[in-house]
Order: sequence, then C-alpha cells, then structure tokens
Amino acid sequence: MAKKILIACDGNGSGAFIKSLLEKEGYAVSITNSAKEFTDILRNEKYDLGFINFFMPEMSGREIAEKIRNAKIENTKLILMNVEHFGARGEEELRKLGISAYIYGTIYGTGNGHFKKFIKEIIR
Amino acid sequence: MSFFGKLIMNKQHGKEKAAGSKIEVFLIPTKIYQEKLLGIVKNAVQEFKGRLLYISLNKPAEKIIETLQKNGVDAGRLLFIDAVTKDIQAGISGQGIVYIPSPQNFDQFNAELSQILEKEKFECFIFDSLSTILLYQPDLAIVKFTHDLITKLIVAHACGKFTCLIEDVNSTLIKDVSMFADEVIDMSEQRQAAVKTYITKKEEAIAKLENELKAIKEAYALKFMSDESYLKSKGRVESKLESLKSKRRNIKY
Repeated sequence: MAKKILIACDGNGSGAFIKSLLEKEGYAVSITNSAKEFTDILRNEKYDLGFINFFMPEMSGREIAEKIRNAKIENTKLILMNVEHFGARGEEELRKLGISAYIYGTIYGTGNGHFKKFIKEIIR
Repeated sequence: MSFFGKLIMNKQHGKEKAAGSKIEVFLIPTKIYQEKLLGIVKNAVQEFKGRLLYISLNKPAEKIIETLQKNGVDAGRLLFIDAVTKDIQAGISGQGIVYIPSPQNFDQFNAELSQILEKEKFECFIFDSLSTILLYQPDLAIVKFTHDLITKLIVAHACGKFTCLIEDVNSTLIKDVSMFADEVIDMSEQRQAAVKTYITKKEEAIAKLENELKAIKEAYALKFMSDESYLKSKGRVESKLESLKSKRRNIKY
C-alpha cells in the first residue's frame, strides 16, 4: 500500500509542486490550505508523513506541530518547510516537538533528486 | 521519531548560516528595560570593531544618543534608524540618524528598513524592540517580517540582537522568533542571580583544579612522582580544567 503524505501549505503553489513530485514517486498525497484542517485530518486518519509550511495564515508551523503533539498524534512524522533559517535554539525546539526534519529554502529549482531521496529516508 | 535532519534546497536561495553571524533575543523585565538595554548596547560597542545599526521603535534617536553619551558609550560608532520621529515631524534630518516611518505604515517601514540594510555595511544590528512592533501588526506578520530580517542579517554576515519585554515571553511572536535565534537570554534578576551563582561555583572549581595542578607539578619537580604518574595526573586535571574554562567562557549573561 502506498505511504500517505499530508501537506499543509498556504496556497502559494509550493504545496502543489511537492504533491506532484511525491505522487510521481508513488506516494498517496493530500493537501490542505488550512492549519486547522491539517490537524483535524491527522486526528482522524493515519498519515505516514506531514509537511508543514512554517508560515501558514492562521498559525505558525511551530504552533501546528505543538497542537499535533499535544493531541498525542505521534505516528505521523513531521517536516517543516519554507524557512530560510532556524537558529540553534530553534533546532532544540524542533527536537522537543519531535520534528523529523526541516527543509531550508525553496523546493523549486535544482536538487529534486536529493529531495526525493531525503523523503524516502524519512518515510521508510 | 529519532531521525532529525535538514535538507538545504537550492543553496543560493536557502542561505546557509554564515560563520560569525549570531542571532540573540534578550528577554528583559519592563522595570529594568532601559538599564539592561544600555548594557546590551555597551557590550555590542565593545564586542564589534565595525559599524553597528540600532533601530528604535520606542524612543527618538536623539534621546538614545543623549543617554549613551551620558553613560560613556561612543555613539559615533552607531548608525541610528529612528522609526518614531518621522511620523510626528516630517522632513527631519540628523547626523548619524536615518528617519523612517513607524511600523504603523508597515509596508513603507519594511521597504525603507530593507533599503538601509542593503546599502549599509555593518557588523551588528540592534532591534529595539520586538514588543513594540507587536503593537502594530498581527503576530504572524511580525514573525514573517522578523524571519526575513534575520535572513538578511545572515546574508550580510552580521549579528542581530533583538530585545523584548519578558512579559511577552508567552506570545506567539516570541516563541516563533526564538526558533530563528541562536540564543534566548533571560535577563530577569532571578535568572541573573542564578547565573552569578553558577559562575562563582565554576570559578571556585577552576581555582581548586589550578591548585591541584600546581601541587602535581611541585611533587614531580621534587621527584615524588614517576614520569608516567605525573603525565597521567597532569592530563586528567588539565582536561577537567579546559572543560570548566570552556563552560565559563560560554556564559555571558
């Protein structure tokens, strides 16, 4: 059965781009533009991986991750994206929140092969 | 959940952390804000040899310069960005001061600040304060603004010092902005007292080990110890000493 991935993105197109990239790799990918819907879906359905855009309109990626972990949803690995920089303090906080990984910079452009390999390693 | 990794996409865009660029957030209680802020500026002037940028959202730059000069700080090393006065007094100008609109006119404020950051060469940027900017815009807009600002500092290889009232510590802004920081420094009196105690203990331990090392060297000189035993004891104490000194060096506040 295909591994399931849920993406929370603010509708700027990067979510759709990631979705098409990952679908080509055989994953079952869903996407939502709402942070609330993202957490609701994960409460009711098991996903292997969740992508969170750090700058969602209603709340930050940190808050979303915090809500998910507070709701004891622990079997979905989480990745934060669309951030240019996390400091040492931020990395510590990400570990506490059980974030599996984060992605600096934009998914567009070069490095898609590297991105696919990276996801494969996390989700395996 | 043990795996923790990062993927840097398109390096030109995903700016990797520049060496020497350190981002700090200072949490300061309201009642000692001015005193601690002065300390932060003083330390920065001593720490950095080059130019410093100071943006004030709270007080007119002229007042800040006056306070710094009264306290023996070389204000000439700083370029002030005054985001208070222009809204009240259009067309104002001053030496060593750039006047920009307040964050009430956020787009204009952001655009003019970005222009300054692109134009000026500087080693350290002091932002006074996150708590004030919080009054003008919703949390998330400010989180995005601060993130972009920090990215610009990293690209410029500059350090950033952001001040904030400790009373705002539970706000989304501070929690999120802390994610982009290398250090969050609690400047409350309670914390400062704890740091002082910690430093005293470390210094006592260092003094004790230095005495022990001296005694080992004396014993060896008097041939009370074999070469092997001397090297082993000396190595053990020196390694402990180095570790303690390193911990001591890393405590700043």
